[in-house]
This record gives sequence, C-alpha cells and structure tokens, in this order.
Amino acid sequence: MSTQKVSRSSSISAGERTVKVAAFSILIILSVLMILPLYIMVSTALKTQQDVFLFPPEWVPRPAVWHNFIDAMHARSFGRFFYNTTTYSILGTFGEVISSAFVAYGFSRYRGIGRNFMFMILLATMMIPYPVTMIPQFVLFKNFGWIDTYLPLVVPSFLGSAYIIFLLRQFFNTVPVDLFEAARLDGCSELRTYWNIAMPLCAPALASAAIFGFMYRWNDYLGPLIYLNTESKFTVSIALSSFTSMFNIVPWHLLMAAGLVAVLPPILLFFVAQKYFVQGIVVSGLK
Amino acid sequence: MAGMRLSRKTEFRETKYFYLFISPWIIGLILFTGGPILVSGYYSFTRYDIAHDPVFIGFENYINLFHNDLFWKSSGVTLYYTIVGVPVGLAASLALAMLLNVRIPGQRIFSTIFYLPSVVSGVVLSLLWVWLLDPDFGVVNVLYYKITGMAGPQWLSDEHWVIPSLIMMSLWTLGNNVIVYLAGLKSVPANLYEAAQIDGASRFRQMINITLPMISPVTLFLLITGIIGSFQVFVQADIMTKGGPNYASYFYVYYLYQQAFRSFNLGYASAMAWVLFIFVGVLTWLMMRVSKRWVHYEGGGE
Amino acid sequence: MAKKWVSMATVFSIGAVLALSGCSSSTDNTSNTGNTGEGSAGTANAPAGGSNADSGKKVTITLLNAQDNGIRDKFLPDVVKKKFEEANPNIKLEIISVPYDQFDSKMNTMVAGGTPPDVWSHWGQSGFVDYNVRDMVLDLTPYMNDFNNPNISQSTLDIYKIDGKQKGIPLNIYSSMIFYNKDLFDKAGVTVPNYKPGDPAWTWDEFVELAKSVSKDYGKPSAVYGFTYGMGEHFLTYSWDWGLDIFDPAYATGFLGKADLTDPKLVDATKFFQDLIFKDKIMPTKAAEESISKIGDPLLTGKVAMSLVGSWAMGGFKDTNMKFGVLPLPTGSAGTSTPFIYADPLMISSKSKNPDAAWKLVQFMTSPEMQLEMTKATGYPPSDSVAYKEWFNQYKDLTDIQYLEEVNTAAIEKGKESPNHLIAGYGDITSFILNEQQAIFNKDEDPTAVLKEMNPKFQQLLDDIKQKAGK
Repeated sequence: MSTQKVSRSSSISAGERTVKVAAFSILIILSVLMILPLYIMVSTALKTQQDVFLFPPEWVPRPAVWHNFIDAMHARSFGRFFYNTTTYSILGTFGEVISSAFVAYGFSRYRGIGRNFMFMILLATMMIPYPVTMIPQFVLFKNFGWIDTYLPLVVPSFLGSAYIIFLLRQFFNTVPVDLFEAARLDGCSELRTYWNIAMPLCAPALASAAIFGFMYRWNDYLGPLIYLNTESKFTVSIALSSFTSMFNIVPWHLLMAAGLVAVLPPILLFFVAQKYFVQGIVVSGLK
Repeated sequence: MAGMRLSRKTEFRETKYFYLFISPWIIGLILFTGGPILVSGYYSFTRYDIAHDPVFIGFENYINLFHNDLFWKSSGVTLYYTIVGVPVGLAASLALAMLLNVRIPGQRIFSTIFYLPSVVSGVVLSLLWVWLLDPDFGVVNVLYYKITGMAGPQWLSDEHWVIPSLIMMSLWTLGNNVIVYLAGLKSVPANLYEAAQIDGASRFRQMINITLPMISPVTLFLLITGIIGSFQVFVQADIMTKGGPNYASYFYVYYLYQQAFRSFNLGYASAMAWVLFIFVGVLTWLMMRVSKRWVHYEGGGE
Repeated sequence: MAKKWVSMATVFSIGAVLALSGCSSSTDNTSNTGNTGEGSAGTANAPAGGSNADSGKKVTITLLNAQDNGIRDKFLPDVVKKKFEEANPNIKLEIISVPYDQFDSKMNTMVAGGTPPDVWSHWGQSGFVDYNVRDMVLDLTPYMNDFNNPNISQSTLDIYKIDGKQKGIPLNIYSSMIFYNKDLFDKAGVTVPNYKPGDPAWTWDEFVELAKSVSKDYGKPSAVYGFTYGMGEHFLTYSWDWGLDIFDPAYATGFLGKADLTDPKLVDATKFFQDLIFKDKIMPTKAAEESISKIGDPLLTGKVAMSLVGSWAMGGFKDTNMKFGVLPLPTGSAGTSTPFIYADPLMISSKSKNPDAAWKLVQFMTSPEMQLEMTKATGYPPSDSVAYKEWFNQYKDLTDIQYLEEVNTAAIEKGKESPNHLIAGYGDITSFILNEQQAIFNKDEDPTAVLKEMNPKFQQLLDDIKQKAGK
C-alpha cells in the first residue's frame, strides 16, 4: 500500500489523468446499460397487473403500486424462506470456504505423488451434468435418512467443492514459493504456514470464494427442491420459481417485486465483503 | 516438475502433506460425489425408465446416440454458444475488471452495480430477459424502434438471433468473472509496474508483459470453468426458448434433461452425460497441458 | 453403517479445522468459533422440524402438487388436508407442492428413490400416458364399485379407462373454445354473433371474415392480430376437422407405430392455417406468436382479438377483469368441429404402500361437495357437472354465461382428449413439431414439401420412442 501511494503522488501525469477520465466515463455508460434491465424490473414491479401490458410500455408507472412488494412477500411465507435460506447459505458457505482453502493449499503447495491425477479427478467431478447424478445422489441421501432435512445441502459443503478448490488453488499458485520456504526455515509448522501466511495472502480470493459460495446457495433451487418436502423448509429460490405456472400466466408485477427483494441480502453482503478484495493485500508489501 | 528431482525423503514428506491437506475432498468424493458419478456410468449401459429396475443393454444407448440427429444438433448448438460466448465473456470480464482497477472514486459503487445482475436468481433472470427481449413490449426493441423507426428482430423467437440473445444475456451476468479477475489484478505486485515504469515501458507493454502473464492462472481457471459451465446450459433453454426455434437453442443438457425427466430415458441421458464428460475431460486435459506454455505461476507450482 | 461413516468423516474434517485454529492467532480463533456456533444452531433446527413422531397405526399418504401462484396450492392444505384428516382421523395427508417447472424432477426423483407420491396428477410436462405405460399407475377398477359421484359422467371417466381398466379419476376438465377480447371488437364497432355449437354456417371461412374485421397494422409493433391458435405446438392435430387424426391408432396402446404426414388431409389443413398468416394476414407468424405468448396470454396483452385456447385462460381474464366472449370451434372441411379437452386425472401410484387410504383421498377430492368447494376456491373447472354451474357463475360479470355454458358443454361432449395425455413420448413429439414447423409458419414454405421431408424423421422419432421405452 505505502509503496503505491508514494508512486502515485510523485507523478500524476497528464496521461494518467486521461486514463482516469476515460475509465470513469466508460464506467458510467456501462453502469447505465447494466442498470437498465434492473430499472425495468423495478418499474414492472410497481405496475398494476393490467398496466404490465400497456402498449407502448410505460417507463414510469402511474400510479406506482408499492403495495405489490407487500403482496409479493405475502404470496408465500417469504419471511420464513429468507430465514431458512440465510441460515443454510451462511453455514454451507462457511464450510465450503474453510475446507476448500485447505484442500486447495494441498494441491498448490505439495508435489505429492499422483497430484496431477487427483487434480484431473477434481476437475472431472464438475463435468458430469447434474441431472444424471441427481437421482443416484437422492437415493444415497435417502439411505442416510436425510430427506426433508438440510443435511444433504450442508454436510457435503464441509468437504470442499471442486469449483472453489480450483479457484483458490490458482491463487495459492501465484504466491511466491520463497515465502513458504522462509517460514519453514523459521521453524513454522506446515499448518501454521498455511494459516498464517498463505491464508492472509489470499484474502481477496477467499472473499470472492465466500461470495460465490453464498450466491450459489442463495440461488440454487434444484438441490433444495429435490431434498426438501415440507413447505416451511423451502428456500427463497423455490418460492421465486413458484411464480411460474402451467398455464403460462406469470404475475409479472409480483415476480419482479419478489425477485428484487431477494436480491437485497446477497448484494448487501457483496457491498460489505468487497472491501476485502477491492483493497486486497498486495503481495510485495509483505515481502 | 521435470526440471527438479526431489529426494526420496522430500518426496515422502510432500506426498504425506499433500494427502493430509486434500483429505477432506477425498472423503467427500468417496462419500458423496464419487458414487453417484459411477452409478450414472453404470446407468449409461442400461435401459432405465426410473419406474423399473435398470436393464443392462451394453452399448445400445451410445450407438443410438451417435445415430440421432438431435444429439448432433444439440452438440452443435452448445459448441457454437461456447466458442463464441466463453471468449467474448472472458474478454469483457477482463476489460471490466481493468476498468474497476483504475484508482478513481466510486469504484465500490461501480463494482456493486456490475455485480448486481449476477445476484438475480436464475428463474427470475430468465423470465426478466424474456420480458426485455420481447419484440413488442421489451425495452430492447422499444429503444430500437425509437432510434431507427424500424421493428427490431424477434430475438428469442428468431433462429438466427436466439444464441446471440442468450450470449448478450450472459454478458449481463459477468459479475463473478469480473470479481475473480479483479482479485487477480489486485494480487499483481505493484513493484513490477514500478520497475517497468522506470524502464520506460508503455502502458500497453506493461499490460502484455506484466498484467496478462500475472493473471494467467486466473484466466486458465475462468476458461476451464467457463467451458464446463457453458456446456451445461439448461435453465435458459428450459424457461426461455424450449430449445427452439428450429432447434437453434436445443442445448445439450436441455436435451439430456428432457430425456432423463420428461421422456423417462435415464439410461440414454446418462450415456449423453458420459459422452459430454469424456469430451470436456479431454478438452480440459489438453488445455491444462497447453497451459504450461502460457500460464505463469509465480510460485512455480506447475 | 453408512451413517457411521458420515459422522466419522464429519468429525475428521472438523478435527482438521480445529487443528488449524490451534495454530492460528487467538483473534482469528474466536471469530471462527463464533461462526461455527451460529451455523450449528441452524442445522440443529433443520432435522428437528423434519422428524415425524411415530404415532402408532396412523398411515401417511403423500400428494404431489405443482404450485400455481397460490390457487390450488393454497386450497390443498387449507381445505382438502383439513377436511380430509377430519373425516379420516387415522390418515395423515402430506402435501408436497413444488414449482411447476420442476415438477418432473421432483416426481421422478421420488419415484426413483422408491418413495413415489401416493396420489398425483400430470401437473408437470409429462402426460398421464407416460406414467401409465411405465406401470406407475394403479388400476382403480376394483375400487370403482365404491365410486359414488353420479355427477361425473361415464364418458368423462372413460377418458382414463385404458384397456378396460380405470386408471385415473378426472379432477378437472378444461374444454377449448375460441375466446375473444370484447373491448377490441367494441372499438372496431363489430358485433360478434352467438353461433349455436354445430351451426353449419359457422365455418372457418366465416371465421376468417370476422377476424379480418379486427386485424390491423400486420407485422408492425402496433399490430393487432385477429387470431392466434393457442395450442400451436399441436399442428398435427389441425386436421381433426379435415377428417384425419394421425394419432388415432395410438389411443389404445399409447404408442404410435406408424404415421403418414403426407396425407392430403393433413396437408390441406396445414395449408389453411398457413394461409391465415401469409394470405389472410389475420394470424401472426409462429415467431411473433411465441413472443406474444411468452409473456402472457395473448388476449390479455391486447395484441390479439381472438384465440383458440383451453378454458384455463379464463383464470387470467378474471384476474384482470377483462370482458370476453366465446365462440364454438368453427366447422372444418369434413363438416365436424372437434375441440380439445384436457382432463387432469388423479392417479394412485402402483407402488403406494397405502392404496386404500390413497383411494379415500381420490374419492374425497372427486366427491360432489369437494368438487364444488374446489371450484369456488380455485376457479378451476371441475369434472362434476353440477359443480360446473358454480364455475360459470364466477364469470357472470365478464361474459354471457348462458352462452358460455352452451358452448362449453357442447365442447366437452364433442371434444377429444388432448393427445399429449394419451400418446407416450409426447414431449419428444412436441419438441419435434415445434421445431420442424418453423418452415411452414415462419417462412411460408410449401406444406406439401415440408411435410414430405418431415415424414421419415417423424417415423424415426416414433421408432425411437418405442425402442427407448423397451417396447
């Protein structure tokens, strides 16, 4: 950090200024593009069911029906679902990140016999489409007696997930190896080296892994749907897809309203967590 | 790897710690993930309609598969989507991440904005885009009409536009990739750039010689997971297009899902899964091999 | 045995994590245990809610339902479960409601896991026949002596009598009619006559004239189309009133062995509907129609004046208070008018452990009282003819219900059950038709040539369906 500050203040050249102005303008334009679909979501969420199909479409709904948000939340027991989803997402993500980081470090740091083979197996587990392993896996968890509980959705997370392991392994690979050698010479144990040196260095990657893990669980609905039976245990994503129907009659205003509310918890998490990777620790600073 | 010979003692030590660290994953593989994958392999050699026990039929499913037009069509569609979508997605993510890495005010807000779309739940996302791309009511064509005075394309209902439409939608939800790239960019040691500046290297040179190599492990990750994910596209086809029009969005896994759950041919679907698995597996293996030439690991890991 | 392994694995991984925290600095340590504590409270909750107390000889049956925006999925737990359990104190009814688009995943995993729902209907994308040809449906014939709702006619019951065996009891019956958006006709100053069902004057040609009177701006964003064929993926059935049902040989077995798509009657019918798009310009192309119906019912969007669609569409009219009218299906060149009917049967799983209790539920839900309650609460048309009166009543502010009753009753009498419920592998057939029809209904290619080209592919598909089913 400090090194960068020095270099920055020493030379804010004209070129650098241009780059910054250009970057800022491009970001503004792109932001508008990114937000436009979301704006449509908001404006649809505020329309009456009849006005949804007005032609030409209204940009600003008049009157704005804020009540749609309340109706959408009452269409199903969303309060309950938010609680369920948050609990299971936090727990699962915690398990996944902790265990995956551990495994990823193993893959990155040690040249054990069979490492490449094991790594290919790890990647391979991501390549089989879920629909065909879903049934055998369901039978497996049924034999454990885990149906209609969160166990099938949480316990496996504590044993790592291929995607996150792969992600973190890539980041551990970028850490200069001499850092670890130095730690070893200092007499630090392998576990301590991992925890005190590797983990802090990869904080940005860990933060993103946590966000991905949380988001994955927040939005996953095939898993919860297959393993849960009782409606009071359902998740937000199941409730959202229940706005679809056999007869293609989608209550657009309610769907969009509920969809928007469902976006809030993860985006809040993102806003808070990004501090960790946007201001990530610069490796050289520690050297 | 080949460059250095390890002593036996070191080799034993390395192997010991290697397996200690990866043991949670191995346990998970044995308990939860490995079994179902092997079982699906067995199913692929059976006729299995879910209601009756699987009947062993040898390679019949595989033979049928290769004689089926739809198999080839869906493979073609999926390849097209992957070959165009993945590189475009990677380039766009990197560009966005670089923009977000410039030191200007408001970056936290910007990155939140870019990440927002990725948070929208799958089903809602698909339905939202059905709405946006609606030729009459959708904002895309309404704007198009305002600007050009002509009716826009039929997007999802036009066989030439449907894949570009879906790629456009995937560009809107790049958040995850951007974040990974951003984390990668943040990990590039600042002193490398300082050294380059002292040598008088241009910004472009710095990008080619420092940034790209330093984030190449991240690129490899995004490339491989992107390809794997892209081959498994399902929700969009199921909710937005039903594989149409004229099979133009009949994605491989959509076909597979139809076979497994709507036509009760789980054996056939499993054979499809294993063909995909082997194809993507070989592809990944090749990429990993080739990657040794272009991926730079600071740790000298690979 | 398996459980033991799991707990060992869990202990092991937690042990590994603990070992790590031991090596870490103390501040990290506390923050982590804090997390774990919060997390484990969550898991402790989950299984506690799931454990069913074993209360002796009480049997539990399950009903699998597809959610429908709180209509049936509120009625089932609030009314059916409550009243059924009151009436049958030794049966516990468990209702599993899942989103429509994943009904098939849930159903099939339950079946494969050896715990199929005891009672369900084809509320996913597979039809009755797909379950039936795989022996998943219990033969209800032995129970039929016990069936005592005289308001469900024999012809209704016969829809799901296969090979002399009663396989399902219809819970709802939807007919199909031509619905029109009354405001659009009023705006155009056109009065729509009430044709008697079966009136020979009410032909498709007459219909085209009517549709032309409200069509405008063809192909432009502001277009209003006179007509859409709301069941478009079934274009192989367009020829029903041209004197040909190519699915006919399959109704007995569920499998269509041979079909000839080059039959002139099919070609004529197809040509007629193609002309509605490109010659008469009263119907959007398939692409445009798909776009319109992707976002909702075409009539509700005000882009379409008339639509041939199932009576489920009326639910949407009620929600939006749209004034509408109905018309019988016009007469085709063969002199007949054969609408679709859609009956949703309650089925009992052949693997049900409590078929008697399950039958009690089926009987209960199809009883005169519950049929009436269902109609009142859900607005879905019942299979009980007396309860049907209540259904018409719900639309009295929006349409002429006497005429609606006349048209609907005739439609159910003369109608044919939709082939997607009676032909195995119809999902594959639908995919095939949807995709192959593009050439005809988007590009104005000659139907004779297109159908000729489709013919061998269709035959291959039919063979494939049979072979994969092991028949």
